[in-house]
Amino acid sequence: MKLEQVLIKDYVLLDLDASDKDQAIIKLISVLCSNGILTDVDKVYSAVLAREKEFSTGIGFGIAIPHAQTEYVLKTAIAVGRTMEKFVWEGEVDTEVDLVFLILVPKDSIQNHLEILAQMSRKLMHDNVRQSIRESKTREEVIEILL
Amino acid sequence: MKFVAITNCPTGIAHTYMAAEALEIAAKKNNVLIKVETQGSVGAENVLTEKDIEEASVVIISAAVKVDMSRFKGKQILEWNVDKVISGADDAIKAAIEMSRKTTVDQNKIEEKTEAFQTHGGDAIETNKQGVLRHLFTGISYMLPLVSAGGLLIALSFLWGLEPSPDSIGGILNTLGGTTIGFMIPVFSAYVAYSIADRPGIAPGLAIGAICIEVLGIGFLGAIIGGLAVGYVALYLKKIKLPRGIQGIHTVLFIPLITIIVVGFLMITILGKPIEFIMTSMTSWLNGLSTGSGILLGAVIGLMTAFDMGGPFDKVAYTFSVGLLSEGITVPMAANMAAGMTPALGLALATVLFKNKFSETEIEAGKSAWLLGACFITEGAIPFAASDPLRVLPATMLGSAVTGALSIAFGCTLAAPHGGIFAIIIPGVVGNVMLYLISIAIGVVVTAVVVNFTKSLSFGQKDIQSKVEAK
Repeated sequence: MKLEQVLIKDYVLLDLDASDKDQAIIKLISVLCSNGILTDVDKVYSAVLAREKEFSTGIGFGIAIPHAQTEYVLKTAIAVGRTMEKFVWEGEVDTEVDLVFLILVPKDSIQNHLEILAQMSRKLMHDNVRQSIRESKTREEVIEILL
Repeated sequence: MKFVAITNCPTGIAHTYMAAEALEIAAKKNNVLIKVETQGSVGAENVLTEKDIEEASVVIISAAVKVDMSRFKGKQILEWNVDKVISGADDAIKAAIEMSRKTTVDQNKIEEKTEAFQTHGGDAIETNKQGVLRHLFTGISYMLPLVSAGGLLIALSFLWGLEPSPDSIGGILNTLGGTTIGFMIPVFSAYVAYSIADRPGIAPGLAIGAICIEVLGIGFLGAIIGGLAVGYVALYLKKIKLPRGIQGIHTVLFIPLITIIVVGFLMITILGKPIEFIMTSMTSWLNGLSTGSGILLGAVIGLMTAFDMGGPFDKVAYTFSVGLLSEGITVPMAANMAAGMTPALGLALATVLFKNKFSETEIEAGKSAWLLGACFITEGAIPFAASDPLRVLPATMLGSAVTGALSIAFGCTLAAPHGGIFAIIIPGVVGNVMLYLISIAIGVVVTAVVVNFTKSLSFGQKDIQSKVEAK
């Protein structure tokens, strides 16, 4: 299983300039959009927001994982954004966030990709993983940690 | 100390696994064992075995989507919100430790809860009755769109005349409507069964519903019995454990096959002959009546039409009237159509006048019942009758009997075997139009008034219906 299939260095923003949820989501979506993975940016954006409404993705530990599964995504992809300063991620319970992982999955995602996402989600639960991501100097390092 | 847990979330992409990992980390930290089953988008992984569950002192449920709890009967359950687990798995594990140290008091409570449906005390029987009604309501709510859409299609087709050619727009609309309405009974019994046995009830329920109308011709009264029988048989079969090698076919083949055989054979062998007998004897009885008093004939046609709405009695009356129509005798046909229009119209009127006697679903059904009744689609009354036949059928039968008798007494005639209000507005199809409309109107009012009265009778089961609705 290869994380590179869904996360390449183009998708990692080490100094994401965002001070709220909307900005962060829009900027990460546009990263994936410019790589031709999305067929309809607006639809993807509203799918992510709909998911947010249903279930807040600010999970604590400074992490948010906005995500959506929609037909307007051609292939499973993760965009990672790290901000210099923590900002408020609004949800049922507001949390402070400096790491945002946008996960987009097509309607008929292949099993392999879903397993990669599951693996990555599990990794994020570990202190040392989060710490290393915060201390990474390069995009390659981030990918290596999540691998 | 050992725990088991289940995690899931709406999309099953991330939270499920984060919660699982968080629980595992926290368990390690607190020196307890845990096995976490993840029910995510990749399917259930690390599935809990019976042995795991047996050994566990607490079951942690961290779920945003419904979990099948039957596996955990008698276990101590700790429910912990999935996002709270992610950020506070440590608290969840500590609470589980606390819980398993407590005395068995809570355990007894949990067992009581899960056993409640299986005990045979007075309460359980009461619950059961409400249950049957709830299943019928489920069936009705899935059937309703077919009745209203199908009915509307047939009504629209009449705009192209009463006998549109099959290729014309009217003909196509009529075909669409007829086919759509044809599914109401199978869908009804399928979802009654679904309400009882969940998904395994649907396929055999559809089949038995179709057998009720296609083979037995017993309409909705038969479908009530059929749907309930299918549901309970399928529910029982679900509990049977097949040998390991063939477990895969349990829901795909075993349950539907056995259910259809059991219920199908029972219904065809037990009900088949009696229904045939009823139909032949009713036909000869009607033929005998036709030489006697016209008013009595009208009343009998009305009673039969409104009793089973599409079942054997209705069919005998209709076949009889259409037969006479082909001989140029048009009076019984008029009585038959008028009596077929009153049930749905009368109940529609009742839902307007006596709102508090009906459920919300029924009030909704009442709106389309106006149109269905006006088009001589007697099936429009079935959604009301199927949940409460003992109170609804006497009202519809009385109303239709009055209308049928009046129609004949007034000497009304009808030259077409269908069309409802559309037949009435075409000049020359109905003789004595004004009196015909009056006879229908009187029956409609009678139906509404009588149903208001019968709905206030309790038959010893006090307001079960309103209780169910309140839930």
